[in-house]
Amino acid sequence: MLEIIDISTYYGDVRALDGLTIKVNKGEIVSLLGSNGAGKTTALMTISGVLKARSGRVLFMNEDITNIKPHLIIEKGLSHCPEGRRIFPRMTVAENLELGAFRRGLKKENLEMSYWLFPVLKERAKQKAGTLSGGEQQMLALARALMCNPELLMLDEPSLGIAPMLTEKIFDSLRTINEKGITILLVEQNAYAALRLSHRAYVIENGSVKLQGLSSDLLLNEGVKNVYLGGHRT
Amino acid sequence: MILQQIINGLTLGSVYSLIALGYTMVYGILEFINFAHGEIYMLGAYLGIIFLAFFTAIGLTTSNLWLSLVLTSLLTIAFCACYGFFIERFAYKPLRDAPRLSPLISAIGVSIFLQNFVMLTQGATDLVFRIDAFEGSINLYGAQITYFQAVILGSCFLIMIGLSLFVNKTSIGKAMRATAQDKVMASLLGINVDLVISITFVIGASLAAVAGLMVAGYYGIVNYHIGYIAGLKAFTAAVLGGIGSISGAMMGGMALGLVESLGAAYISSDYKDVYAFLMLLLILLIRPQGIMGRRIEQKV
Repeated sequence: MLEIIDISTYYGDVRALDGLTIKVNKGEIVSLLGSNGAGKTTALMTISGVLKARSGRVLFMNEDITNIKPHLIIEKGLSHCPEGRRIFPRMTVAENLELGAFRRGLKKENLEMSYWLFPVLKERAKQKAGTLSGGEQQMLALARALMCNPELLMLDEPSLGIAPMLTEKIFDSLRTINEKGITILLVEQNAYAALRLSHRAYVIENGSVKLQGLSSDLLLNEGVKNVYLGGHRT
Repeated sequence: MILQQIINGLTLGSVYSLIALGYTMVYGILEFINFAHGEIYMLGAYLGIIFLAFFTAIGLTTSNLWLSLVLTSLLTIAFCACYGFFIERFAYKPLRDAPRLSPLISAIGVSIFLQNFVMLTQGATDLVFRIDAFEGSINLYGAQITYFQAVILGSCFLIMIGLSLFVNKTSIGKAMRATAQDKVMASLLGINVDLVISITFVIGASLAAVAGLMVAGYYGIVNYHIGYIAGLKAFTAAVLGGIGSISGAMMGGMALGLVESLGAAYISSDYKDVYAFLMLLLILLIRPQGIMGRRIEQKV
């Protein structure tokens, strides 16, 4: 469904992605793991057109979408929920959700799906999004990214700065979302949680793939265990 | 007497508000003061006179005064909207990613260019004219509201309601507010940020055109540098209300008009321009974020 072929992206003269190649098949959850600065966020930003790739190609549903403008990408069914939630704090929860459907039109069933996944958003629909707790904001960001009814959802660090209990809830909802037929590309610091959720994973280092495989295999991989799963027991 | 001054102040204030909205909307989205905005107002005043003179020359003004006034207004607004659009495209957009000082300098350049352009094409002297519409006045508890004042107050009121509804209720308005809060996120949601910025400039320029038309008709005198002082005062009004806030710009403009007109009547009219900037100084000392503004933590 999504193919990233030999992508290189630069910040000025600094190379952030160095021939990155990954592939996401329809229906999968794929994790991108790696330490800070490995290029995970850069990869997502390049796919969604916010950053320009200097070389390489991005194919989505067999269409070349390399370096097209970000506002045109969502129309193709690729939704990007970026790092740090980035909700619109001075707008209401309902308005935030409505903006999620800006390109593809507000559909009642999408709104109902969001409220069904996260009932707290319905309770707070008229509240300014900036007054929500961190976890609720993450739910809002996720729900907003789903409002366009995407084929593929790219999620960047959904557990960042959120209480462990809420993290679990969000990961549960990701599984539900995936079961509804939405393919997910997940960037996550919490490698253990990500590997348990996803089907396959890539480990990125210095802007290129260092390791890839089934998540269940990577969970048992000694190298991965030492570097990324240090704090956790499997 | 005081009621009369309040009415005069509100009339003046509506004009400041209309111009201030352009400053505040652009600042809200680009965090940039469009110093050429006052010139759009000046262009509005000149274009209004030019179109009206044209309609007078072809005889439309005598045969159908109202039609000629409506056409004059619409054409002026359309021309100023184009100016707003192209100024942004040519003078600001190429500098979107440049250091913050660069578009500011570019704006000052546009301002100087437009002033001199009008001076060279229209002459450096005052242009005096009068229109024979809206003669007469309404008597309200001893205060005289001329029909022209009533038209200015009424249309400003309607424009502000319309603008509030547009920004808060329509999907383009929501896209504008989203873009003001987070441009990258807005683009990820499918909002064409460049288009939203263009729309903002077009709306701001149209409002300034209306203000220019009103002032030209009200005072019957224009020159090529009226945009400078009016722009400065409207900018003051925007800061007073809290730059970036639309309701703040409306309130700031009204407050400024009132202070000026009351100060001129009860203290001294020689210091008319001083009151506005005194008020700016006071507000910056007491409440730097303005009446409706939010405190913004500086990102380091």
